[in-house]
Amino acid sequence: MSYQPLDPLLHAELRLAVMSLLISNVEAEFPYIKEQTGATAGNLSVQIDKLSAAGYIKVKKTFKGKRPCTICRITSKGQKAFEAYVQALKSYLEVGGE
Amino acid sequence: MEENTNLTAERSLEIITEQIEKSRQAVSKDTGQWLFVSGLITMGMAVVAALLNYFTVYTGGALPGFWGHLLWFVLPLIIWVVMKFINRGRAHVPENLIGTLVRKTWWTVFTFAIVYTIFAAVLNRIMICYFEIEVYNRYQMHVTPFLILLLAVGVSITGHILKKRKLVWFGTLGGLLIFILYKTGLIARIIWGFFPMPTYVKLSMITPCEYIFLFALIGLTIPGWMLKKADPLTPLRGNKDSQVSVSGEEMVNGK
Repeated sequence: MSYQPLDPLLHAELRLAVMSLLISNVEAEFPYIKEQTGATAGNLSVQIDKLSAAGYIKVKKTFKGKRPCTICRITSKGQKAFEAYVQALKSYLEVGGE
Repeated sequence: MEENTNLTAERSLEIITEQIEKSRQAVSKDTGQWLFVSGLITMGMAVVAALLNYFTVYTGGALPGFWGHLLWFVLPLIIWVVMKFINRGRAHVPENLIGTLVRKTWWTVFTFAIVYTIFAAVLNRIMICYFEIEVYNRYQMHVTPFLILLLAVGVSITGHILKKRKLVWFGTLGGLLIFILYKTGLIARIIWGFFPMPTYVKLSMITPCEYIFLFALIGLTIPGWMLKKADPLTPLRGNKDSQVSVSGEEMVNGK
């Protein structure tokens, strides 16, 4: 039995959590993502950079008052990749549920 | 959360579900904070307005026993400033579909409340100044029952959007209970009636502050506190017995 391959970029706990969070929100600030995923700032930065390099999310660096503020927004490429990932995931769950 | 690439299908699904549910809970907590703070400030404002009205009944002037009610117009501003202060330095809850629905519901409630209140205040003032008292008694526009029902609808709709049944019940029952109490004048009849005439007159001037206080407690503060204090989402950890026996590496390679 062969399954649909899963996107290796999304098939990682933290990156998948970030993408799941961004799929249900228009955009999110870095501290919010950190709070919701429970990740460390360093690890989260690395994973966000990987997602950004793949074009799945856009990272905007701005200021909130005098404080620097990083805002992440999912791109249409990221949305399509996430949808494809969920579709592929279904094939494993359907087989597993049989 | 570490970079674990050896995920099972169930674990992947759990992560997706968990994060989507966390987004809903973040909106719930944020809404709870707004309701709680709005309720507390409204209760405080009701006490201040009641005291002002109570002590200015016999002082004469253009609006004896009415000055306290002017405070209601600054209530939204005070709530906004306090919320800004509380949320300073906190991570902003991002906009999502649920948050947008809640925000638009409350903007609608707020717009109706402000427009109706201003219209009623102006019309009532015109009737008092230029018409016989009978005209005023007959056509007077009551602001409090309308606002209580409007806020109750807002709380109930918010409960439906957030899927919080307690919020729906508190909004609906609180609104209807206080509305009935107001329309029947039960508080004035039962409690104020025990006081001697001069005190009774002064106490009757604090109406509708007591009803606003009660609704702010039942319809805003208590449900807001419950939303705010709701247990954080229990992390969904995969049950190993139910996992599909396909390794993360195999899934990535599509074997």
